Amino acid sequence: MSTDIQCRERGHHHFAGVRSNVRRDVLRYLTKSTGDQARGDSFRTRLSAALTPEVFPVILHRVAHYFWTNGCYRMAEILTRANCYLHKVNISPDSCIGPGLRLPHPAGVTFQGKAGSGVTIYSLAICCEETDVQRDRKSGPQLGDNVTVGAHAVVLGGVTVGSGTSVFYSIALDRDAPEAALVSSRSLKYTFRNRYQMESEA
Amino acid sequence: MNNVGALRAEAASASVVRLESKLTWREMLARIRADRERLASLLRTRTGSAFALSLHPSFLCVFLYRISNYLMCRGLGLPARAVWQLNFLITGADISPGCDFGGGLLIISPAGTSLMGAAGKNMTVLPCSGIGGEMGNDLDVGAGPGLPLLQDNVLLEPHAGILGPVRVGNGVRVRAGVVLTKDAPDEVDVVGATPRFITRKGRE
Repeated sequence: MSTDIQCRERGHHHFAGVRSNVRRDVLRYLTKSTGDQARGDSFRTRLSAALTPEVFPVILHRVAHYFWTNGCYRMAEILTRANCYLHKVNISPDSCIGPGLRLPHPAGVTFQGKAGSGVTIYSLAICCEETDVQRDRKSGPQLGDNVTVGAHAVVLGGVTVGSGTSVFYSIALDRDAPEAALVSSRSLKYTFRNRYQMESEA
Repeated sequence: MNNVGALRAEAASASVVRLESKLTWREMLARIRADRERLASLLRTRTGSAFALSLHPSFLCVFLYRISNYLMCRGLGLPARAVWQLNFLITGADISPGCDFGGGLLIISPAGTSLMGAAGKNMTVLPCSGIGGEMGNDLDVGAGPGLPLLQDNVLLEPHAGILGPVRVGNGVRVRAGVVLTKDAPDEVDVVGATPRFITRKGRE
């Protein structure tokens, strides 16, 4: 279950890998984007960043995933439940997420699946497997690098989302998405057109 | 509004147990057992231990709701609302103690779900979905004024909603991000808008 090659490469099975991943998360929070330079790199700055509600649930998930990959399923479950009750963030311990995860508003985020580095998941966004109790369980979605999932968006089932893709807010995505695309919906297009018309008339 | 009387007569013969029928202690225990068995059947593929089950947010939130529902049915409003508030603080699910759900209720990730209305057995609620009242329409179809009445085996996918005084049949599956405000027959999928892909050219 834990013999995933990508997970091994990221070093989620030993302490140093978890530490470097957490460091990337904190730096991501401090820079607020993938391209900019860090504002400060002192220990106090990093500690204060690690204790913010943006970063702390991510650290809890990384520790839970460390226990999961090492076979301590019960400890991983306890940490996940603590995360769920404290921060209202439900990231299942078996989901392997690359370094630099950012949860700007963590309450209500649900994640189960796999993700690359530099992923941003906004508030109430849900990436989970298509749970149907009658059927067999399917795998969760696989997000590439630098994927952004907007607020209230849903990525459901074992779909693959390419690198650099942004899933717009309030989108229910149930199929594979290409690389470097913007996932939108038809009703949203009409909304934008109306708004542009209103602006041009005014 | 001519069919209100017919709706009420039909609601009286519905299979869903109404609040006035005084939920008994034995019935509550049977429902909790059904919830637990359904959650266990889901978790058996992963770490399906009894320890993991009793700590699961779905079980805790449904358990607290059952207690508050029982207290409310016994006429103890104050402790029922206290348990409701406790449930909201711990798990983040807002399940009104006045609403009535059959056994086998499953709330996978309780944070952000809000449930008001009535439903039959084996309802599945995925994250951030909910059922509740539409504003301004106080028609009673059997679940209280302005609230939906669901039958058995309803599945709500993430960010789905059933709003207003509607009647929903057996085995209805509301797909992700869809808000259902009309009556639905048995065994249907309620689908919404399909996503589009806009490829960004020249943006790196």
